[in-house]
Amino acid sequence: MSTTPFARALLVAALALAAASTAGAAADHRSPRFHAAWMEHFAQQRGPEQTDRVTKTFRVGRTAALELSNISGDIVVTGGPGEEIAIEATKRVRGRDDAEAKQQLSSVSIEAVERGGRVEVRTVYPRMSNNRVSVDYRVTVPAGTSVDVKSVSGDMKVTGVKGDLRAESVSGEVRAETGGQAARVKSVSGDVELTGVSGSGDVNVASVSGDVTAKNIKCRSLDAGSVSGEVRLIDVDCERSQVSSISGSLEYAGPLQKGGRYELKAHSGNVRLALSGTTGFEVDASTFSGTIRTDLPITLKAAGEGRERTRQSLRGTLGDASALVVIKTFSGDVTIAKR
Amino acid sequence: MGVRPGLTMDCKDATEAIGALLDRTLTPGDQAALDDHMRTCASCRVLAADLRRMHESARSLPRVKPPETLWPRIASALDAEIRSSPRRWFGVSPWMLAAAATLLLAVGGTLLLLRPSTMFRPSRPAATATQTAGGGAAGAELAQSVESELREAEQHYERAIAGLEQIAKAEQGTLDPQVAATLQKNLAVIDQAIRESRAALQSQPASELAQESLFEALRRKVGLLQETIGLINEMRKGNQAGTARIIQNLNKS
Repeated sequence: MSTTPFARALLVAALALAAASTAGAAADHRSPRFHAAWMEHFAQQRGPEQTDRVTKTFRVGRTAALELSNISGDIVVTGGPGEEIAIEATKRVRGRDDAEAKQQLSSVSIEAVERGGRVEVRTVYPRMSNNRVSVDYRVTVPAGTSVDVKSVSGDMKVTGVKGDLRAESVSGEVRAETGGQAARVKSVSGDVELTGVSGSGDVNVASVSGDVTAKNIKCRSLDAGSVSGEVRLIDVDCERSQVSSISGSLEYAGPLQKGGRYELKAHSGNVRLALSGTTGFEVDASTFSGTIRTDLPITLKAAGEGRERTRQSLRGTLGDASALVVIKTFSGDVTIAKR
Repeated sequence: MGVRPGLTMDCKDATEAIGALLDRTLTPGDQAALDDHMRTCASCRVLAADLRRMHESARSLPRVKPPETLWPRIASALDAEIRSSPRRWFGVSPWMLAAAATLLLAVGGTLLLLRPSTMFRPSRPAATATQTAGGGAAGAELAQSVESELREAEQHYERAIAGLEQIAKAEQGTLDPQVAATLQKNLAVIDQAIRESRAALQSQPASELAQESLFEALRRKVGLLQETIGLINEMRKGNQAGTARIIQNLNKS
């Protein structure tokens, strides 16, 4: 086939234009605005949201247990007076049309059973279906209830509960304010925040990529960690603490206990220990390429008893040396200060 | 360990002394101080009994070295399985995970013996390969032996990681894309830590901190990969309870 120079120029121009618009679209595809517009378009294609509300109430007494498992949707648990566990589950879905949405909603059921003061709740999906229903839960419980909530996707909030707490999500934030004695609060990709444990139990707070914050915690042992998030422990008073992160920074603020053990380890994150109270301690701090700073009058170990004070290492004691502090970071800085 | 003459032993000193007792390096003076302390301290008595039991159990274990041909056999079996039937991975996962777990146990055991926790041995001097040598032939031999055991342990980790990575990649489509991206991003963070620790060890082979940092990062990577695989498995089965159980173990190691 023969073409004129004009036709060839037109073809080249058209191809260039097509290439440019494709590149533009690819760039836009990564923008939040594009994503939001796409989601809106998708939602319109799916039709308006349909909901179905389910409520169940169990009389359980002042001390009970709640176990709730969910796949997708937010969970809010609130402790208060009273002797009942009240569950409100709201199923949500967008279907191609009303009939499809209703069919999807009805295929998901909320199972709730009570055995001897223990209420077990779970969302049950039909097997082998492409169901898009999410379920939000709002649950009120007597304050003394032990709470165990798990979700694959969705945020969690627990407040006013004085029983033991376990709250775990794969993808979602977890926030808990509790007066209980022990708590385990975890997420894979969300932030985790725990406030107000008070007692002699164990506390575990962790996330893979989110930040981890624990405030006003009094417990026997505290284990806190993240891979890439920051770990902040504020006003914590524990007998043993193990705190770790790979790239996030670590902050520990609070008193030490006599005979207590405190270990803070990071790879590239900075480590800051801000001490209140008067408990003496022995410290072994080291960093490979960062620096160590302290404004405390630490008595250095005598030469020959190990590493003394260098830019990257500090070994010594303060006061009665009754607690032990081990700090290690590979490339981060270490700060030990009075709070 | 050296309790100051005339002073009584506290729990921290006692913890050190118990370690020294098990290592048979406790001096008679410290032994007497430890005995005095344990007469009045139940928690240290329990600790001593526990550690003695662990010590005796560890000593009675046979020192098992996997045959040289084990890993190549596992690796080739993995290759063949994934090539021939990538979608049937979960059908054979217990076997593969068991193999990986065996390797990890071997590594864990080796490291446990090689690197006692700093929490129990705070005053241990910074022993380095060159310092340990101290000029003597026996010291040099010991340093070489420690170095070679560390290298061996690292190789076990690397093999375990390679196997786990292969498994995780084969079925990662099962995970929610956002969760998969999060896990990948964090594995990359750990990989960076491994690279940095290795580079540090090349420039300062005797650095205890660089060694610790490398093994800590390897351990975290193995833990995250294991949990990633567990999460894939549970999500594939749609098992909520199992998924949640996996989450609770995430980041633990």
